[in-house]
Amino acid sequence: MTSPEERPGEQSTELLAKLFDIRSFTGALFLIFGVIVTIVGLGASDSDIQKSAGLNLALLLGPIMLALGAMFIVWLLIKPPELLHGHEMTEEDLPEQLRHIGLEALPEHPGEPGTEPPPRGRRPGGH
Amino acid sequence: MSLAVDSGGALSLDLSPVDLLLMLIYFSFVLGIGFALKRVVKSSLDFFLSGRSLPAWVTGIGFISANIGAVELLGQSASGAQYGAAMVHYFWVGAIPAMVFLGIVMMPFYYGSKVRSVPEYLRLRFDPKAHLINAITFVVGSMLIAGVNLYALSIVLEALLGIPLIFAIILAAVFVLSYILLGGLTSAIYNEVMQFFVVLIGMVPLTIIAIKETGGLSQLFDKLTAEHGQSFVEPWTGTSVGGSSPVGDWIGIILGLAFCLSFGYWTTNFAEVQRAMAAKDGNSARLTPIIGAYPKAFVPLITILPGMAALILLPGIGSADSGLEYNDAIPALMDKYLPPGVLGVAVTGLLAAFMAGMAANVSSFNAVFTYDLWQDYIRPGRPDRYYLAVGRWATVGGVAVAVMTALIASGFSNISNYLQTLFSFFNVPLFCAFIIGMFWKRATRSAGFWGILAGTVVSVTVYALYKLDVLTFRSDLHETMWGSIAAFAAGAVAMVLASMREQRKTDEELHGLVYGMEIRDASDIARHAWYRSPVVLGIGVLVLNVGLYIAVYAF
Repeated sequence: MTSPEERPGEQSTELLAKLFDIRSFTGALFLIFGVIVTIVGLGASDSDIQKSAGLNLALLLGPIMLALGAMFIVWLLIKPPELLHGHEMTEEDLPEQLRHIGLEALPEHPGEPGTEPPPRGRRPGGH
Repeated sequence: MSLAVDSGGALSLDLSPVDLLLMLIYFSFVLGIGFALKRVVKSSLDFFLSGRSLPAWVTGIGFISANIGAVELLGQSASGAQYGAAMVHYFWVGAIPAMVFLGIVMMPFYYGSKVRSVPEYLRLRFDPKAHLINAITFVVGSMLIAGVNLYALSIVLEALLGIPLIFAIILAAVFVLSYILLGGLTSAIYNEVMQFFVVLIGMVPLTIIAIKETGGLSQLFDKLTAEHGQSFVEPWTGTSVGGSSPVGDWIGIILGLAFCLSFGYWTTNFAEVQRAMAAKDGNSARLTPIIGAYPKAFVPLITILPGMAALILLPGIGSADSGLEYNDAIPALMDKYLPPGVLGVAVTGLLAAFMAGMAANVSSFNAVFTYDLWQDYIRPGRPDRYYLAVGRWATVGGVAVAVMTALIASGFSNISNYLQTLFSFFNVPLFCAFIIGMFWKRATRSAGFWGILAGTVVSVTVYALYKLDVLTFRSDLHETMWGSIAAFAAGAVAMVLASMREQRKTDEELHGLVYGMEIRDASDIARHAWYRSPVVLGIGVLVLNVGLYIAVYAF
């Protein structure tokens, strides 16, 4: 699972990459949502409360979202994510029955340094 | 799929600036995920199967979230309003046992054999004929359903932003396209995880309102019983053979709905199974559908229950003069009851669900198109980076087709229903081919094709006879249940007959694909704590289901 990108001197990118865990995204989203909705709830007018069956829903939901967001962040800190890596496909990734054709389909073997041609920017949204 | 916004404008959603701000924040997070994941896509396996690297809780939530699209949210609440509590069978008898079965029994064949798609299993277990039927129907079907989701998304966007429908469709399509192109399946799954929590938080207030405003659950059920009879609030009442429940009889529910329809959908639909194939090891793959089953058990509380409450809270819904259709139950309740801020979260959840539903179809479509059609039959033997590029172009092409489907759906609101019925004919025979292929080594290479063909023909025939009034059923739902039973039986018979005149495949050809020859990795063989054991968690969710049925009767 090692990738060619994993070189010393790229630690700052690694740190940044580590922040890009789904838990940090979800946590941050709910912290922001929670703050906004709680503020709206604090300033809710009587007509807003009357609209929703006499409940101040925003003040109910805002803190719930804050707690959910905080939970994701705490989880992230307690159990830091493993860095996600892209990796080249190998024969091992194919079903046994397809490995004979797989070899031809996979001329570049991983682990042999220097066989990777420079990426071309031909495809939409590529590298 | 028809929200009332396109039929006279009875439904409108008035958003305050703070609601729009919440939407804007959410959608910038969605794109952010795409950009953050760009780095991770190096091979076609990364793009189509997340490099088989994700933890079970992520794939599990993705598994269930991919299913919560337009059809699920609006459709199930509409069915709740129309058929009542019996709709919970689709969850507690249908979906959840199927998901547990997929995790405990079928996943080792899918994950252990390292097939890269559901059709690829058919190719290895049977022959290219069975493979092609599945690959082609899946590719066409998922594009059509992507179009339905896109259309639903665009109608809401049109109503919210006041832009013409065509712009709304293109805006939504470009958005989904960009984040899938960037991050592939991982992008889709990560967004599904985020979407799941937003939908949950956004829908729960509706349930609270439904209970509070109707005076509590028992009050709500009493009122509905008075108006619609006992079987409307008690899921098993009237389900005896010859009974009156519109959903059907218990044989149809257990054999047709649970065993044929739900098992067929959940265990062979690649849009779902793909999430489990993206898991990092055998144990995580098996846990994927089972983890997804826990939240699925509670989805009726945020769909069917508000749908039923809508009958009381939105008087006249479903009748011509109210201007509201059953499909509008959830958006109309939102508009009537949710205050600013909360409405923003709920509408964002709705949009996110439609978007994720479309993304799930697109991200499974491109994998099947690339691996099962392009690589197998059109341009085999190219380097992996070639197929990665094909996958990206297939994504563009798939979204373009979805845009066209959405435009067609906007002109003929019923066409999508008919098309979905058409593709549902294939589901049950497919399940028949899988289950017999997995558990009966003697099934030969052509058995898969004949099973699928015979089952589909019978399924279509029963449907046609019902439509021509030769056969009578209590409702369309009742017809699908018995049609599925007939299709499964016909498929099984055809498979046995086909297998009798042919040599079986060798053990070497079948390695990893059939019962008794599963390939299990270390994580799957190891002993696990209860919270990582597929069997313990699977039984747990089934017990939970029984508890939920009892809870419905308690009110």
